Amino acid sequence: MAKKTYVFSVIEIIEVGIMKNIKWKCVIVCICCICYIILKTISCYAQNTPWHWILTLRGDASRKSMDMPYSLYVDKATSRYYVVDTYNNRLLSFSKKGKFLHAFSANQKLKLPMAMIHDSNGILWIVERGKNALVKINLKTKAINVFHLKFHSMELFPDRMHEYNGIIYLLDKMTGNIYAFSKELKLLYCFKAPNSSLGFIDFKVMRGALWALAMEDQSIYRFNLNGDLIKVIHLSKKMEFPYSLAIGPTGMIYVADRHKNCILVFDGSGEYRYSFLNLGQDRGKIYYPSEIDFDPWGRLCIVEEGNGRVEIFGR
Amino acid sequence: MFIATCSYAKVTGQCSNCHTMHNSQNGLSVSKNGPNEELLKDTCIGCHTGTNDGTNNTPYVLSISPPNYGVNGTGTTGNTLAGGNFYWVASSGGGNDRCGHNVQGISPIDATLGLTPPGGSPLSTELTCAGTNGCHGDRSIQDQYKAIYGAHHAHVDSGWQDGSTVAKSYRFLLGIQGMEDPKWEYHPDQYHHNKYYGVDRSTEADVSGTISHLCAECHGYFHHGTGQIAPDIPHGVWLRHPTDFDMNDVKNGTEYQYYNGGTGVDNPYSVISPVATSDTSTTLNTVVYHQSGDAIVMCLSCHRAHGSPYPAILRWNYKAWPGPGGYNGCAVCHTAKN
Amino acid sequence: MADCMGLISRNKHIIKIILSIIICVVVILYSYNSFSFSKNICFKCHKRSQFAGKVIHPPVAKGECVVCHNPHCSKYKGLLRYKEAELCYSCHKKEKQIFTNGIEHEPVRKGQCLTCHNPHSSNFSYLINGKLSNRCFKCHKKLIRHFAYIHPPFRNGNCIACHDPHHANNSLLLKASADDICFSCHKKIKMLKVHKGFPCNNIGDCLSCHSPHGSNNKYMMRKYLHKPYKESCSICHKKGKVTAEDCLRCHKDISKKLLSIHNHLLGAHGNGCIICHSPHAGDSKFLLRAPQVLLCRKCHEDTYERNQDSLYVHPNISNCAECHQVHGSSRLAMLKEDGNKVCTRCHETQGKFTHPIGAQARDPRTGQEMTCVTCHHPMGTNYKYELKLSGKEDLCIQCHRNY
Repeated sequence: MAKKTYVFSVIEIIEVGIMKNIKWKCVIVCICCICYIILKTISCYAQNTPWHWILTLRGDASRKSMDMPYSLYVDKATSRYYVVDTYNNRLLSFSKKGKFLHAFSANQKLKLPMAMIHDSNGILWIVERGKNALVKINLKTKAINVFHLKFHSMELFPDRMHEYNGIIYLLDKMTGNIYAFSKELKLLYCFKAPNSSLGFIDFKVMRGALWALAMEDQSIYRFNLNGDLIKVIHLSKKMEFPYSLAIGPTGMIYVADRHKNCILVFDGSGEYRYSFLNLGQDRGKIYYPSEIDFDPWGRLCIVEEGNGRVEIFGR
Repeated sequence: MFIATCSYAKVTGQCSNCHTMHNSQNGLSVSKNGPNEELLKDTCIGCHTGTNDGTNNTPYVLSISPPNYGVNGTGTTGNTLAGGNFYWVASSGGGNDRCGHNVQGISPIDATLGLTPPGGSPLSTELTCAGTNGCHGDRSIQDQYKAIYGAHHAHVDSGWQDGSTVAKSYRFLLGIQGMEDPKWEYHPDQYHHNKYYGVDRSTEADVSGTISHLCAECHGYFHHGTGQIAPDIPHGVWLRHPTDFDMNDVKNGTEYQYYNGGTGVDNPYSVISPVATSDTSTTLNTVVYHQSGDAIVMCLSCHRAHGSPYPAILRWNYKAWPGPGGYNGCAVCHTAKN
Repeated sequence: MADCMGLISRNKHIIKIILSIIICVVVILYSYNSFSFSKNICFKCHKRSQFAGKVIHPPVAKGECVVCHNPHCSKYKGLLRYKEAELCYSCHKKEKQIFTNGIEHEPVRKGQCLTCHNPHSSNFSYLINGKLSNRCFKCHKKLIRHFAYIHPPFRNGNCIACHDPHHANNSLLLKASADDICFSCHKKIKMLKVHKGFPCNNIGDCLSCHSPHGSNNKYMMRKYLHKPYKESCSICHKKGKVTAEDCLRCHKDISKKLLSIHNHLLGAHGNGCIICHSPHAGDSKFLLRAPQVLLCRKCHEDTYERNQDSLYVHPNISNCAECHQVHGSSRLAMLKEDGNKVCTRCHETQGKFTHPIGAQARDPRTGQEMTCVTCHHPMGTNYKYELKLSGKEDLCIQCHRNY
C-alpha cells in the first residue's frame, strides 16, 4: 500500500512538475516572442533610416488621381500644399493633413503647368510648358496675363520656379541658367553654371542663398542672391540621375536620384551620409521623383511623377 | 513581419497555373476555347479534369479513363468524389445520357430530354457549370465565368458556409448552406464527409438554402408543389419521395429507426445514403437520430450531382440488385425491404 | 632504450617543433619543384613549339604552367585555376584598378580577356590574338570598312591609335577628346591654315564634319551635309553664338515637340541641339553625331549599366527612338505614347487580349492607369518577358494582395 502511495505521489509530483514546467515554458516562450517582435521592429526602423512616411497627397475628391505631377508649392501662411498636376492641366490644393481642398484649372485653360507660386497679393504665377510662358493669374479679378520671357532677345524656356523675398527665380531649360525677375518681370540677376555644359536641373532659394544642382558634374552651386558664385560643392557619391535637390533645416543636402529612385543625403561639404527609399509603388517607395522639397514644418515632400502622388516623410 | 491578417483561400499555388495575361505563349494561344475575361487558361472542366488520388488540390469531376466507383459500386472507396464523375455521361465514357447531367463541354444535349430537365422547365441553352443555366455560382448571371467570379480566391475551406455570397456558399452554389469535406469526399466515412443542409418541412412548400432546394430549382416537381399532395403529412399517400423531410418524425416503431444498422439513437451516418441536417454548427454530424432535424432526407440521399455509372444518376446499382454487381442502397433507410 | 625514451619524453616540445619545420621545408620544396616539374612534364604532351611566338607570356616562357592551370582538375575551361579575368587580374592588379574607371569595353566588362589576347604567345604586341583589326572586326562586324577615302589608321587596322581597347570616359572609347586625338597627328596650326575663313577663325569639333574611319566624300567629309552648311556658313553663323533658337527657326516641328513636360532641351550654353546633332555633317540623315545607342548612352550611361546584365532585354533595345520621343514628350520616360499604345503598335495580339488596362483599370497602389509598363520593363529584367517580378505569382500579388 505504501509503495502504491509512494508511486502515486511521485506521479503526482511529476505531473505537477510537468504542468508547472509547461506553464513556465509557455511564459518564457511568450516573453521571447514579444522581445523578438520589439527588436525586429527597432531594427527594421533603424535600417530604414530616420525618415518615416506621414501622408500621401493623391487625387481629388472624385478619386481622379494625379497624372505626372511635376512640382509642389507650400504656402506657409495658409498651411496648404499646392501640387502641380501637370498632365491633367490643373493645380490641386491640400490641407496640412493631406485632405484634398480644391482643383484649379483656370477654366481648363492651363496647358501643362510645370511650377507655380502663390504670392501674398493673391496672384498665381504659373509656368506653363504648353505655352512656353509664365502666366500671371489674378484670382480676384480673374485676369490672366501670359508672358513669353526673353533674355538678350533669346526666348527662355522656363522650367522650375521659386519665389523668395518678392523675387521670382526661374530655371531656363534653353541655357540651363537661373534668372531672377522682379514681379514686374524685369530681369535682375543671372545665375550661370560655369563648368557644366548642361546647366542646372533644379534649384532652391533659402536663407539668403541660391542652391543649384548641376547634373553633369553632380555638384551643388551656391550663389548669393546677386548672382555671385560663392561655392561649388562636389557631391562625393556618384549618382545615376540627380534630378532635384532640397536643403534640410540643418544644412544637409538631399538629392533625388530619378533613375535609382532614392534620396541621397550629403552633409554641407558634399560628403555622402546615407540614402533611403527605393523603387516601387507601395507606400514609402518612389517612382520617377520629379521634385523634393522641405515644407515649413520640416517634412520632406517628394513629388512622384511615376506614381502620380506626393509623399510626405517626417523624422 | 507582424502577424498578418490573411484569409486562407481555397485555391493555392502560382497564379500562372490558372491564368494567362495575354493568351499567348511562343506565338500560340494558351486557351483552347479562346480568350475569356477572367484571363483563364482553360474552362471549368478543363481544370477539373483528372484522376483523384487523395493528394490532388483540385477536385476532378471528370476523368478521361474509367474511374473506380469502389467496392459495392457505391462510390465511397474508389476515386470518385461526392458529386460522382461525369465520365459515364461524357462521350469518352460511353455517352449514356441517363448517367449524368449533360453539361456543355462535357457531353452533347440529352437526346431524349433535350433542354428540359425532368420535373422542371426548359433551359435556354444546354446546362452549364455555372450561371443562369447552371448550378454553381450566381445563377442570376448569364455568363458562367462572371457567375463564379472571385469565389475561388475568396473561399474559406473550413467552417459553415452560410450561402451569403458565392464564395461563402456550399461548393460555390450561391445561397446553399453546408459544410465541406476538405477532400471533397474522397474515400468518405462516418467521420469524414460533407455536412449537407436540410430543413424539416411540414408542408410541400419550397424552402431556401437547402441542397434539395438547389436541385429543385430545375427539378421542382420532385421537391415541392401545391394541390397535388397528400393532405396529412407524414401520413397518407406520398406523391413524391420525401425530400427536406426529417426521419426523426417517423422513426419510432418504423423501419427507419434502424437506419444504417443502428438502433434508433445515434445511428452511424451513412456515406452510401447520406442525410442532411438542419444543424448549422461546425460539428460534423457523424451520427443520426442524435437530435431533431439530423436525419433529413435529401435528393443526394439517392442521387449524385454530377454523374454515376447508373441510370438516373443513382448512387448505387439498384436495378441489378439482388444480382451480383447490384446494391440496395435504399435499404439503408428502408431497412425492412432489403 | 629506456634512456632514449626518457630523452624523447623530456624533450617532446622541441621534437615537435623540429618535425614541423621539416614538414614545411618538404612542402615548400615540393611546391617549388612542382613549378620546375612542369617544365619537363607539361611539354612532354603540349609541345613547346605551340607556344613559340614573337611575344611570349612570361609564365609560359618560364614554363610555369601551373601559375594559371591546375594540372589535375578544375571547374573552368582549359583547367584554369580561376575564372578568366580573375586569373589575369591576380597578376595584372594595376590594370584591374584602371580598367574599372569610366566605361569598360564590353569584353573587359564581362571579364573575357581572351576575346583579344592569347594567354600563351602571339606574333603581335600585347599578346593580341592575331592582327589587331581582325580582332576588332570580329565583333564590330557592322562597321563599314570600304570607303573611297580611308583614314590611314583605320586602313592599317590600327584601331588603338584613337580608341582605348579597355576603358575610357566616353562611350566611343576614345583615348582622349576627339579634337585632342585629331590634333595629335594633324597639328592645329597647320589645320587652321587649311580651314581658312571658318567662323570665329577657329577650328574644333572635328568629328562634326569628318568621319574618323572613312568616307566616300573627299577629305572624309561625312555622308550627309546640313543644308546651310552646304550653302553658306553665314546662314547660321551670324552675330554671336548659334543658339537652339536659330535651329528651331527652321525646324519648327521640333519646336512644337519641345513644348512637352520633358524635353531634351539641354543647357549647353544655349544650344542643346548640337549635343546630339552635328550642325555640319553626319553619317545619318538626322545628322546624329554617333549611332543612336552610343549617343543616348552619353548621358544615360546609368540606364545601360543597370540593364546590361539583365537576363531578359527587349530585342530592339538599341533603337531608343523606336519607343522614346527623343525631342520631347509628355509621357513618363519620354515614351512616344502612353504605356499601352507604345507597346501594342507592335504587340497587337497582346494588346487585344490582356489583363485589364487603361483608364478603367487602376493600379490599386497608386491609382494610376494600368499599362504594359506597369508589369513589364522592356529595358531589362531578370524575369521572363521582361516582367518586373516573376509572372508566376510574385508580380500578381503586388496588387492582388488577398490572393
